[in-house]
Amino acid sequence: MMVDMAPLDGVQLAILNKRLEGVCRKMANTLFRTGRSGVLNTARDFSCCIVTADNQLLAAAESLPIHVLSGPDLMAAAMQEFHPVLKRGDAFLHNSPYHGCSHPADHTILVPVVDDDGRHRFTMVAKAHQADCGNSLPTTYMGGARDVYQEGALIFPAVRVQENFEDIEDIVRMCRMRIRVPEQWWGDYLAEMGAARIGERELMALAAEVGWDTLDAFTNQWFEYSEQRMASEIKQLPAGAMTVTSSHDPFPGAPDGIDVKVKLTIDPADGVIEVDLRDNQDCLPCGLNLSEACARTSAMVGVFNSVDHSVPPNAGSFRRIRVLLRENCVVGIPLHPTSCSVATTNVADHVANGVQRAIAELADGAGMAEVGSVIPPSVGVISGLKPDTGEAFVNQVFLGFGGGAASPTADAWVTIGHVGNAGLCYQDSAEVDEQVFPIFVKGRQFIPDTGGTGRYRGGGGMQVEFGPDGCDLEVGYVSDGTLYPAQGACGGGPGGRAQQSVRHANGEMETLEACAQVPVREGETIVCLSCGGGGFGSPLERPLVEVVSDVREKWISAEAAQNQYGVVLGANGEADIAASEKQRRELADGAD
Amino acid sequence: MTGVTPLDGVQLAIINKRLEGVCLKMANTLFRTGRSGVLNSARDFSCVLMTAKNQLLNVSDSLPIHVLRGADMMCEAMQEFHPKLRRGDAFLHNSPYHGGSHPADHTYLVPVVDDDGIHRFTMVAKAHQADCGNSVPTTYHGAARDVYNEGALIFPAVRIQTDYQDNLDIIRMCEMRIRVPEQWWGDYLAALGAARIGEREMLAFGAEVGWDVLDQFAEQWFDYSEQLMISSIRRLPAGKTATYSRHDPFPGAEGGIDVKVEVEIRPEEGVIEVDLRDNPDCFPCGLNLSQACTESAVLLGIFNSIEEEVPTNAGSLRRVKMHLRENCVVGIPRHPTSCSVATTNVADCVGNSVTRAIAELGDGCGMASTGSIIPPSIGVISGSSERTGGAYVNQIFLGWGGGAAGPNIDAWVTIGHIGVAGGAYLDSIELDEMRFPMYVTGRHFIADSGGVGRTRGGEAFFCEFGPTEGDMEIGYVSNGNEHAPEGVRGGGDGACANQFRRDLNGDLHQLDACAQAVIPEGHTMVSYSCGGGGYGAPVERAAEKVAHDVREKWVSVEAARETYGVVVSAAGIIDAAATEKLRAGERC
Repeated sequence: MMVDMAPLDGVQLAILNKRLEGVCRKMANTLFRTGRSGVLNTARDFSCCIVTADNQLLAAAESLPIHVLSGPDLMAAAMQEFHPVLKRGDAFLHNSPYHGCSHPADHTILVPVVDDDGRHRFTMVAKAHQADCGNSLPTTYMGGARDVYQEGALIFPAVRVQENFEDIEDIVRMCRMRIRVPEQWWGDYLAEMGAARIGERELMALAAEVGWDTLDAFTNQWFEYSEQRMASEIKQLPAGAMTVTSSHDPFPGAPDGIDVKVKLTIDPADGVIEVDLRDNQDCLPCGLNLSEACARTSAMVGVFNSVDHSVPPNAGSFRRIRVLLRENCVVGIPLHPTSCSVATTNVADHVANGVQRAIAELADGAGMAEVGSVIPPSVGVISGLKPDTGEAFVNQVFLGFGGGAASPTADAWVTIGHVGNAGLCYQDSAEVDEQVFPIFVKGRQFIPDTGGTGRYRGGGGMQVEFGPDGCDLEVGYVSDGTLYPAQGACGGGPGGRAQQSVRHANGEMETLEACAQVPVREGETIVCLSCGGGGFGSPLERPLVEVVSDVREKWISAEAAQNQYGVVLGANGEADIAASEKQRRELADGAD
Repeated sequence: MTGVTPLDGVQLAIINKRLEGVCLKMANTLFRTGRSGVLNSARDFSCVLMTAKNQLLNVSDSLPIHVLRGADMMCEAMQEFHPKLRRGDAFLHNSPYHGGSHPADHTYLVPVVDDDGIHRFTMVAKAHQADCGNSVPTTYHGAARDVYNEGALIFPAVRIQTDYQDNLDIIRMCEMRIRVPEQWWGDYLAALGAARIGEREMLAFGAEVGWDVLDQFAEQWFDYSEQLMISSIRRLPAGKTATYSRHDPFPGAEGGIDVKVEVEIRPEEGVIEVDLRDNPDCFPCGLNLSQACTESAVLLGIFNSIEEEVPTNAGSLRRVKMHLRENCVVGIPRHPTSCSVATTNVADCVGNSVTRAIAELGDGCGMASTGSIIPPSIGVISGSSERTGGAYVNQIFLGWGGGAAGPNIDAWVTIGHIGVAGGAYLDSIELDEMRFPMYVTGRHFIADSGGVGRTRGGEAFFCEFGPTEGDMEIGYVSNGNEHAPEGVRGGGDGACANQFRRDLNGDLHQLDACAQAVIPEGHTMVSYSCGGGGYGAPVERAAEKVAHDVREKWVSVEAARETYGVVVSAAGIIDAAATEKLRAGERC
């Protein structure tokens, strides 16, 4: 077996890595081109990856970090525990947050790749956020659910859904009975299954070409290489420990809000970063609790956002990140029947944001500020009956997310989405949404002065106004950041807060709850503002020319330029250098 | 079947009793091994035998609303979805869109397959679950706007065993989504065990007498039952009438639900025809009937109105013609319409309307209305308790609606509701208090709450109970708060239901009729069930009987005088002269 294999050289490693990434891309392309719901074929809220036979993440090209860093490993382990004999042609449906999935809306198809000798070699994983997963309300984010029963989703703990490449119709029929718009679910199921099967076929072909032993050898060497890359990144950071707190707003079931405490330790000598999340409160009777997969992953997201982007995210580099969790903790390992309906976004974002902000405070030139919180109504789940046909529709729209975080070297990525998906999801086209659903998007724009101020600017919040066209609409959302904004780092300012209201037919505005399932009648619109991201470094250090450009581009107002950035603009729109220097000295003195 | 000579009457009777014995063995298994109180105390389950052609052959002492119709459709779905049935298979079914009554009734279907691989019969064990994974801890989600909001897992004849081995994927799914999973698991073992006992018995019986003989029996037994049904219908008066019943306003049906039942009896043809098409469309709530419950409710109304010796099976059912329509609240629901409460509330309106229609067509026939349900005293309780071992959820059966008066006999007071026909038991207070952190402060009948009449309606129950440890949640759907169960042919209506929370000061706070109420520790739930309707004019009731009613405190001295026209002392001594004078005056 592997004993006779000569070590692969760097070129061979690089080639095989790209080949495996290519397999993931083919899977992703299949899913993107064949998904039936907008959340897949427009917003791209899915991930495709490869896990080894001993359940380690190997390749996850272009996946959403919160979906895959940890989760596929745990899910594949559950598959092996529940189904000790894996056969070619098997496929498993998995979405149980108690067995490794992120949250129940992320239906995941696991396909074991079995060689001609019947040996399980790899597992292909296609995970896709569903338009609906059978929750008791038409939303995939049940913030108010007191437990998994009230949440309502069907839970599939690695349930066999294909045998000999044939569907197990019982499971398909159960889904059709309990998932809204069953034909849409069916299309998405086919897309996911197709993606996983494409991955299986490609991997079989690759193995036929290079041999399974070579792939095993690659895996071991690639993990070691990745581990070394991560270790050397961490070795460049200063030693230190710090506890930061990042707070989630009060929500139903969490009336006091949730203070997420992240205790971060950088140990450059050993090349290890430790994230200790155990000193946090117990699980809450609502849908905000993290699954184990999301608790682990969100800590890792914060670390990966703080090191060089070329460190490969896989089980090798993960060896250098130690995440400490405890059972029955809101950012730990939930006990059934705790609801984890919203596990991928709200509280998970505070873990990731806490980690990257702690690193920023500890290490000069590393880490990031906080990314804006989600899920505002502009990325909520819409549902209703189409006025022309009476057909039911349900889908998540992606009309405007939170703004990104500023880093030590660059302004924020404004359309990153949220920290967990790292810009992988696309924003919807208003035109496509209006063609597909009976909605009208009245406006969508960035709002000046909503990004955190700083040497590097946080991303601005987006204002979106939309409503039903010819029918009533229901919008489900869980908008964090209405009270606690995204925090800046190293002297950067906080991002703007979220807001949501309904504009009644008579023009009157009424503020809406932050976590709600809101009926919007014909003639009414939802008006919402997403969070801005935090800024990095003192705004007084931002070069004058960049502030001038910001004003010209309307990211910031002239008032903010003067009062926050200390930049006084002349009549010609250019900086008045003398006045600006004086203003900056005064602001700096005032700040001391 | 060629070569089998017709069976004689004695053979028919013996085989019928043997088959009934199989069903009784199944029922005994389920009753003795069920883990939840709803099975091992209240007996809310049914065991029946179906032919390979999906015809109801034997129901033994099952609950009528569970089995008159439904088992046939469930078996059809099993055969449609699983064309190849093998010995060792078992199927879990609860889909109201494929023949299930409502999703809380988990049903296990076991095909009996002979040594040649031929499917001969199907054993059916249907058991109401303590929990079925609804979005709130109740098996009656009255306010559910659709099946998604309802939350139950739906199993459209899903294979749960192959070669007598569990499909662990399905078991794990249930354990993830049904409250108190260990309790569900115990009830699963009980219901599946019952079906397997039935299978074993049938395999032994088939080996003993031969499968062809059993087939021959089924044919002849159906024909015999049909003949009995025909002669029973021939004794009813000819005629056609429409009766109306009304379900109270509930969330999703804010205007209430008016149910109209048209019944035509054609004695010369030996046919009863029932038309339910002129009724409202389905509502965005859990009150809609499944097709199985619509048809069963009609049939049980008819069977309540004919001689009891007519066997209930596919043969006698041939003489009832029904007209239903799709998307009708008492018809054929379309997915994703919720049928969470399909076995009781609106189904009772249908069953009661049928018995009253038949009563209207002729004195001496039919019945009044049975009391409506589900009051909090038979609600689903849930909470958490250290003393009784963590989370609990279960339906209790402390006291429910009074029965309906018949043409010749007073009501069966503890019938439960028309759909269970007395097949479910009332709980022992002592057992409930041992098993759950609760205390029952009182339970008794209420005088004058049964409908007055020549024959009396059953009395309502008063029940008061509350938690002894932590808060208790009680889910209930109490119809009859507004619209009383109707008397017939001059009989009076039963009393209305009501419900209150009694706080620490003893003050009463009225609760909604359809609710998931939270009763804090120290508070109590005060629950009044409905009375049943009376039959015939009360002044026709013999004075001696009224005196007895007064002695037994069913009827008060005042009601005896004012309603029955009987002047009687509290001790039950009749003033004959005053009574005669009073009754003479009332008759004028």
